[in-house]
Amino acid sequence: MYTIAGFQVNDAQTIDQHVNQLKKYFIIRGGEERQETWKLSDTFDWRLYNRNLILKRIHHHLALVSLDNSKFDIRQSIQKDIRYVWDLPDGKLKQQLWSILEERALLDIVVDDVRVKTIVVLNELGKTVTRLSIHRFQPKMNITALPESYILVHALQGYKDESDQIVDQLKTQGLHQLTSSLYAYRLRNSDREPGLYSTKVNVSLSDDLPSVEAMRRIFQFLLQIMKENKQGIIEDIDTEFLHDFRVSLRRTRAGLSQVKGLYNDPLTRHFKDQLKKLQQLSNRLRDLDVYLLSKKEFARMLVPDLRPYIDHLFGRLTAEREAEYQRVMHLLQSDEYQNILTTWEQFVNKEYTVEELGINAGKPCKTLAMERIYKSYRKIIKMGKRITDDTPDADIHQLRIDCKKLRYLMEFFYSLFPQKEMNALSKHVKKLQDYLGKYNDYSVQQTFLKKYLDEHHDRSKTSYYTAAIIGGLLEHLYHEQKTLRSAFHSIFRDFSDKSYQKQFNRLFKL
Amino acid sequence: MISFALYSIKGGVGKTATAVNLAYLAAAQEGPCLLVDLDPQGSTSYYYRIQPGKKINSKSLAKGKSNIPHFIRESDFEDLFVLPSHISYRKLDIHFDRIKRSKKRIRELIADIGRDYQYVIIDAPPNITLLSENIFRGVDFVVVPVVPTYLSLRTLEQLQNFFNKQHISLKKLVAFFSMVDRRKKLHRAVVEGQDETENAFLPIWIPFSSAVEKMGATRQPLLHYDNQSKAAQAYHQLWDHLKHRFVT
Repeated sequence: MYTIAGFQVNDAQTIDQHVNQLKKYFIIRGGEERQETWKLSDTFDWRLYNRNLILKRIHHHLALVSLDNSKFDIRQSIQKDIRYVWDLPDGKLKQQLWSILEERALLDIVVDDVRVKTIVVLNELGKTVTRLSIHRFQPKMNITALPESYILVHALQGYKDESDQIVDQLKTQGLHQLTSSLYAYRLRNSDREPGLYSTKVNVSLSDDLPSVEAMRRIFQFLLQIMKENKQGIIEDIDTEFLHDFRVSLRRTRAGLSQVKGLYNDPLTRHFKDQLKKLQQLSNRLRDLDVYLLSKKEFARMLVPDLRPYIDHLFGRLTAEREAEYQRVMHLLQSDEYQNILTTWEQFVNKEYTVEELGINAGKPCKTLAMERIYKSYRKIIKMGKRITDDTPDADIHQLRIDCKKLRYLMEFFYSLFPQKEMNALSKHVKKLQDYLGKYNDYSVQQTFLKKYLDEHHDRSKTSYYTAAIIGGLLEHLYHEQKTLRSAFHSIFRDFSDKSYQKQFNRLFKL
Repeated sequence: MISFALYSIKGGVGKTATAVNLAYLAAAQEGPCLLVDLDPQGSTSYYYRIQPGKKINSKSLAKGKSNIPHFIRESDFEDLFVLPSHISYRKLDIHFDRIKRSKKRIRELIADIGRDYQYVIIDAPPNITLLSENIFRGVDFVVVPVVPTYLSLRTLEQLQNFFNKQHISLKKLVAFFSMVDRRKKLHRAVVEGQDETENAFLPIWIPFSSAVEKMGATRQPLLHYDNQSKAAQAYHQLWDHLKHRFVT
């Protein structure tokens, strides 16, 4: 059975009239009415909605369904509430959802109480050929509001023609046909605008806008993301709220340091320091989150005999993460840290005095963007060329940070340059950035594990196994990193290729 | 996906009634189930009030053409689908005779159309022909209802001999007593004589019942309109035993 059409009934009182009208042409049998509670779930960042899907839960039945009227439908019975993909029993649904949701939690977007009545249409043999379901959604807040009502037409395989006739008849009766599935309509009742969340800087600028105004809009955008994620961090819904918060904070700091001369030096320095302090607060918490999420990956690095003991290490990390989370939450909600974001917000929204502004504040933003992006790009080329096999890791990490800064600058000013070329160049920089990011991950992980070994050495059996695990991981990470390092020159040769240099020059050289 | 056929050399043993009710249970308990009516009498299709589409014919079925899903009809019950019978299936044997690799054809067909289902259940025609042989080879299990008479037991033996001769694993064969009338001395003697010794028999029998016979009038699975009768309970038990056999 699959839904082929839906109709909205503006006045619930007229539903019976519409059914009676159908009885003139078709054999109709009424069914019973039942009460259901519908929960439509998605992640905070609308991962399902953006793929035109939604997860529907009615009592113990879970179904991944399409938001258009396609047949797509993966079902699964559940015993308990599902928050993360790993709570699901193994099966097709888990497999499908894992690739989409990853570590993100499912949130109830809409919870609806609905009365559903099914009626069937029979052929001359008494065989059911079409089902209709009448949905009366109970109003939530406003008790005087009328319930919203819908009639859905469901086709049975092999009886599409019969269902089409019903659809035609309902159209003739003047009902308003839905253009997408009923779920899409219900999502409109959500507190949040469906699909409207992205950490990607999406600010449209014009060439001559003074730089300080252009950056104001960008900072406002980033601040909004930080604010939206705050509640999720406090409730510890999943790890990505903190991640998104931190990414927006880092972008803000890059904006302050890279787009120079927007404000006077003491002000710039003040906010740079303050925001840095806010960022550092959650450094270790984020690190621990990343380690806990990569348990499977770590297990794969070990020889099979050691794999079962990885729980020792991760048990301790989980406890540490909990303690760290408590510490961060306590500070994050303290006046000292709350003030950082509130003063920054006030500053970003205020009218500046001449004294507060820096030397580039009035410069057209496109000019400043070109200057900064070009300079940032040349710096990377220059640094990369100096890297030999003997260059210390610290220099490689510096290159990674500069690469990130270049990416951020290109994101801020994306709207000022031709889209197609910006996309291609962004992708090009991302390749190098990903490589350097991976290299850096290996370094950070090794440092973390070595430090962990230093700090946790009692004579318990657990410590004994944990040490063996760490030894195994260090060995693996060391070799992986070494292999990665040997690829640097070929990766950088691609990055600094003449054709790309020309493209950068053409777009950004003044 | 698990596939099994309801089969009997003899007619009138409750084969179709069993197929109709087991399919009903399979769909209700396990999810999508396809009931394939290959018996040209078409009683299974009749019980589910399903008529075949106009263009269906045995030639396309024998050729294993992919348009078969087009002929599948959704029943009145959730997750239960029926590939209805057609009078032209009486010619299926002739077509199978003509095509190459016909022995594997049913197996390929089941694997192909069965992909979307948890169970494929075939109501097989009551005779031993090339088509039946293909069904035996193609399905995971052959479930045989046996009326407790000595003549019926003989036909089961004949079937076992046929399996042996054709090198089809006897492990596929599952028998149970059907239409058992406890008032008949003979029935009691045969059922009790077989229970312990013959391992092909499931330790469950379906009673002769007027409730089952009513299916012809109601045109619905017994389990849908009378879930409490003795026969209905027996179908439940039969299904539980079969499921157990399928997984072990």
